[in-house]
Amino acid sequence: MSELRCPMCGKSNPSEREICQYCQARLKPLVISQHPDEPAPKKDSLDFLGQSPPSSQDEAADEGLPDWLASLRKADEAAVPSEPAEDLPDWLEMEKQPIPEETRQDEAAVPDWLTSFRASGADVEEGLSDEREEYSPSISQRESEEEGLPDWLEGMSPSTSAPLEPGESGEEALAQIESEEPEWLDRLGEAAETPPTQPVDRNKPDWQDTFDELEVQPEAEKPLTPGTEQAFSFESQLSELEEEYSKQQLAADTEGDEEGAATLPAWLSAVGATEAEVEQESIPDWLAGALEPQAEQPGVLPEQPFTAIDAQAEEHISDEFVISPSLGVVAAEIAKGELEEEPFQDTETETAAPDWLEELASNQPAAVVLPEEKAPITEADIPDWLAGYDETPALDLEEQLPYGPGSEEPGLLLDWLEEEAEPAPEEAEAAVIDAAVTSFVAPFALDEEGQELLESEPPEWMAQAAGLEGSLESVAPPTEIGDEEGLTKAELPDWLEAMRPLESAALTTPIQEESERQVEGVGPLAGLRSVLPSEFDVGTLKTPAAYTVKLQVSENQKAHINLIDGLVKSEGEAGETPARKILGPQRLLLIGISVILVLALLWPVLTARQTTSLPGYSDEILETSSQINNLPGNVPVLLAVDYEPGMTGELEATVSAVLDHLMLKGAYLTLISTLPSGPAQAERLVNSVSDRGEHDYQSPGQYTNLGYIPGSITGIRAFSERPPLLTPYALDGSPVWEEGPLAGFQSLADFGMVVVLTENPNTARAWVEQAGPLLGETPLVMVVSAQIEPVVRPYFESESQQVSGIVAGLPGGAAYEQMLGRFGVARKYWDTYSLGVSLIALLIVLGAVINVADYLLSNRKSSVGETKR
Amino acid sequence: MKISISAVIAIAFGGLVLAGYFIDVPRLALIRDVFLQYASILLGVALLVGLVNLFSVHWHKVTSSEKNYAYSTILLVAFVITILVAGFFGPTASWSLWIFEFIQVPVETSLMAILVVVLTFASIRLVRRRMNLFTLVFLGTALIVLIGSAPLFGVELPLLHGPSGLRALIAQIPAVAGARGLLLGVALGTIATGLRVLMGVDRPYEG
Repeated sequence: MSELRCPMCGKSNPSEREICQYCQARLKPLVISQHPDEPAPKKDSLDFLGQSPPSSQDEAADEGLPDWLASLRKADEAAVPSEPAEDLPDWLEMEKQPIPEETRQDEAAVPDWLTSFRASGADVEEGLSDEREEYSPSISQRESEEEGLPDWLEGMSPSTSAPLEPGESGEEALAQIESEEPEWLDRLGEAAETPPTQPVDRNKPDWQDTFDELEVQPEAEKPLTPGTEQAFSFESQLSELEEEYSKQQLAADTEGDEEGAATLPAWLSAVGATEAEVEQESIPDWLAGALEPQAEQPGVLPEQPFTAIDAQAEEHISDEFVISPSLGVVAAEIAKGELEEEPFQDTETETAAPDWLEELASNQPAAVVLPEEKAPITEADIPDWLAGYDETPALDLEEQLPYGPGSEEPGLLLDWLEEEAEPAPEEAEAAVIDAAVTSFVAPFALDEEGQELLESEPPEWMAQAAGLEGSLESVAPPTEIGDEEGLTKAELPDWLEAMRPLESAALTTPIQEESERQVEGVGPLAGLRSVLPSEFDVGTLKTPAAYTVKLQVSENQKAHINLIDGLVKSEGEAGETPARKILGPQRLLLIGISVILVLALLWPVLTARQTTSLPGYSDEILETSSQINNLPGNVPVLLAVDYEPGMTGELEATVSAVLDHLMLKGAYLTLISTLPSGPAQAERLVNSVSDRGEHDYQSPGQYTNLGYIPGSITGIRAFSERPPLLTPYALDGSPVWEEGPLAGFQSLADFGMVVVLTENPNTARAWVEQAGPLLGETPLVMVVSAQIEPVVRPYFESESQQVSGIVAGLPGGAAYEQMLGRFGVARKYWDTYSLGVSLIALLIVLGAVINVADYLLSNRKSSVGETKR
Repeated sequence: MKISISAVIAIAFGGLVLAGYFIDVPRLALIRDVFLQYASILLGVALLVGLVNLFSVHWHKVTSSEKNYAYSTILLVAFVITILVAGFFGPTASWSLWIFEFIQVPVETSLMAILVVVLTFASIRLVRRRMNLFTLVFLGTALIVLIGSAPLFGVELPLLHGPSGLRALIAQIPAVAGARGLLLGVALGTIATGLRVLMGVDRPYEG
C-alpha cells in the first residue's frame, strides 16, 4: 500500500489519509481554485502554494497539485527543451520540461520570480552537478522511495493520462506539474532562461540562482488583483511578496529610502511593529534575524540585495538545502496571519514597492547572517516532500525576508543571500541550524505572536480571489487547524489522542528552546549539537526512588480476603438457630413437671407427714458409727467442710446425724476447708446441728475454725504435714496450736478422727491420697453426696481400707439417724424425698413409654406408606 | 530442645519436692515442706489476683456501658458489701453468716433444684431423641437406682430396696468397677503428666 510522508513529523501514513495520524498535520495541502468559475478546491488540501485548475485531461490526477507548480512545469515544457539529465534532480528536470500551452493559457499572471525560477533551474543544473553528486545517494534514495511526496509536491510531476500517484519518479511528477503550470510560471521559466548576471555558485541552491535570474531580468510584474485566483495561493503570495520586496530592496539600496518601508502594508508593518514586542524565544531564529534591525545583528551586511549571492555568501551557505528561504519565510508569515488586507492590493504601480514591503525593508535587515559553520542535517531530518528541493545547500534562515523595499526584481530577491555573512555567534548558529531543521519539520509552528497574527483577518484580496472563507487558516500549523471559523477540528478518539507522539508536543515549543538545549556548552564538544553531555547535570541527579517491598493490597483486595477468611473460618461452626418464642410442647412439659414436683413435695411439708419408713443402714454406716463410738472423750476431730453452698440441702441432712453423734461424744471440732466459702459453711453447720441437738457448742471451747486452706491438693498436703505452719492461728486469732486442745499438735495423726464432707470426687480423692498416708491410725470418715459414693467406696472396700466409713446421701443420713435413734433433718426430708423420687421415676417411665409408642407407630406408618407406594 | 529459665525453675523445684518424698532425708523433707508452704501462699495470692481481675472486668463493663452491665453492677455492689462486712466483722460473724445463709445458700440451692426438673425432662425425651438399646439400658439403670434409693410411694420393694436389693447391687459392683477404672486412669495420667512436666516436655507455665 502506498504511503504518504508527513511534512511535519516525517512519518509514513496511508495514502488515503488526509491528516497525519501522529502529529495531526495535513498530508494533502488544500487546493485553492484560481478561477472563479471553477469549483472550490477541497478544504482538506493545503494550498499554500497556489494551484492552477487542473486540465481536463489530468483533472483527476492533479487534484492536489498546486497551480504554480503545474504552470511551472508547463512553462518549462514550452520554454526549455527537456533534456534528459541523469544527474538532474527531479525538481530541476521538471523545470526543464516545457509547459503546455493550455496550462499557460489557463493560468493567471505568473510571478516573474517563479518564471525565472524555472529557467534558472535549467541553467544551473550543470553547475550544480557536483552538488548533485553529493546528494545523489540521498536523491537516489528518495527517488527509489515509494513513500510519496505531499500532494502539492507530487503534483509537480509531469501530468500524464494516468493520475499522479505518490511514489512516482520525480521526473514524471515534474512533467505532470509542468503540464499544468500557469502562464506566470512560464514567465518564470523565461526568466530562468536568461543567463545569470553573476557566476554560478556551486554551493548555493538552485532556487537561489533562480532568484538571481529574476533579479537580473526583471519581468513585468503581474498585476495582482484580488480577482485572480492565483492571489490566494500561497505560492502566488510568495511570488508577490518576493517580487515586491526585491523591488523595494533595490530601491532602498539606491535611494536609501526609508520611506519605502512606510509603504508597506499594515499587516506586514505589523510584523515590524510587533517584532519589538515579541520575545526572542517565541520567534524562530531565521525570522528573528530577519525582523531585527540590521545593525543589531552581528555580521549582517546592510542592505544587501537579494538578487545575487556573492562569493562570500556562498561560502557560508550550508551545503544542505533545507527549505526555500523565501518560500519558507513567506509561508511562515502567511501562516502567522501576518498577511492582511493590504498586501497584494497595491496594484497601482507595477514597479513601485508596496508600502508593506517598504516598511518591512526599513525595519528589517535585508541581509542575512550566514553561519559560518552549520551542523550537517541528516537524511532522516529531511521530509520527503522537500526531498526534491534538497539540491542546494542550506540557507541561512535567520533572515528570510520576503523582499526589500526598492527591489526592482519582480521575482525572488536574493540579495540577502549574496552577502558574505560574518561568522555568527554560536547561539545564532545554533539557532540557524535549529531553525533549518525544525522549520523543516515544522514549518507552521507558531508562537503566541504568530498565533495572534494568524487569527487576524486575512487580506481582502485573498478572500475575494479564493472565494473561500478561512482559506488562510489552512496554512496554519496542523495544531491550529480547525480552530478558525469554517473549519471544525477533527475529534480524535481517545486512543488516537494517546498515540500522539512527543514530537507533536515539541512542535508547539519554541524552536529556540530546542536549539539552546541541544548545543553543548562545555567540554571539547562545545558548540556542537545533539551530542551526549560531557558533564552530568548535578541538578538532575537524585536519589533513586525507594520502592517499598511491602505488599500493596488494595481495599478491594482486602475486602475479598476478609470474605474468604470468614468463609473458611465458619466452616464446621454450627449455625445459630433462631430461638423459639412460641410456647411449644417442650415448655409445657417442663412446666408440668415442675408443677407436679412442687405439689408433691409441698404436701408432706404442709401436712407434716412422716410415714415413710427410714431405710436400713449398711456396713459403711455401721463402721462410721463404730469409729465415732470408739473416740475418747474431748478428743480433737478434724472436720473438713469441702462442699459448695448449693449442696447444703443434701449434705446437711446427711452429716447432721454424724455431727450430732460427734457432739454427743464431746469431740473438739476443728473446722477446716479448702474452699473459700468453707469456713462460713462449717460455721453454719455446727451452729445448726448444735441448735437442733441442743449441744450448745461454742468457739473456742468446743470447736475452732481454722479457716481456708489455699492450694487444693497442695494445701491439703501441706496442712497434713505441718498443720501449725499453714494455719498458725484460728479465724478469731487465737493461737490454737499453743494452747487448748490442739496444743502440741504437729500433724494430722494427732487428731482423733478426720471427717471429710464433700460432694466433689476429686476433693474426696485428694484427702484420701494426700492426707491418708499421714493419718497413721487416725480414722478417715467420708460423709459424701450420693453421687460420689461409687468413687469413694473403692477406698473403703480396699484391703488397706484408706477410708474407715462412708455416709452417702440422704438415705445414708436417714439410716444413721435411725441407727443413732436421734431424728433430725433426714427424717424431715425423707417423706418428701421418697415422694419426689417416686414421681420422677413415674414421669420418666411414662414419658419413655409414650415416646416408644410414638416411635413405633411412626415407623409402622412409614412402612405402610412405603408398601402402598 | 531449648530450655528456658522458667522450665529450669519448674524442673528444679519439682525434682526437689519429688526427691523429698522418695529420699528419707530430713533436710530434703524440710525443703519439701517449705516449698509446699510457698506453693500454698502463692495460690492464695493467685486467688486474690483473681478477685481483683473479676472486679476490674465488671468495673470496665459498668463504666463502658456494655451489654448487660446491670448484672455487673449488682455483682460489684454485692462484692463490695461482702468485703466490707466480712472484713469488718469477720468471716464467721453473725452478719457474714447472715449473708451466707440467707443469700448465698438459697441462691445456689435453688439452682440445684432447677437441675432436678431439667434432668427429669431430659430423661423423658431421651427415648424420643435416641431410640436404641443403650438408651434403654441407661434409662432402666437410672430408674432402678432412683427407685431403689427410696420407697416407691412409701412402699419398699424387696427386689429393689435393702442392702441386698438391686439398687445396692448396681451401686456396689458395676458402679464401683467403673469408678475404680476411672481412678486408675486418673492416677496413671497424673503420673505421666507430672513426669512430662518434670522433664520439661510439657510447659504449661509458659503460656
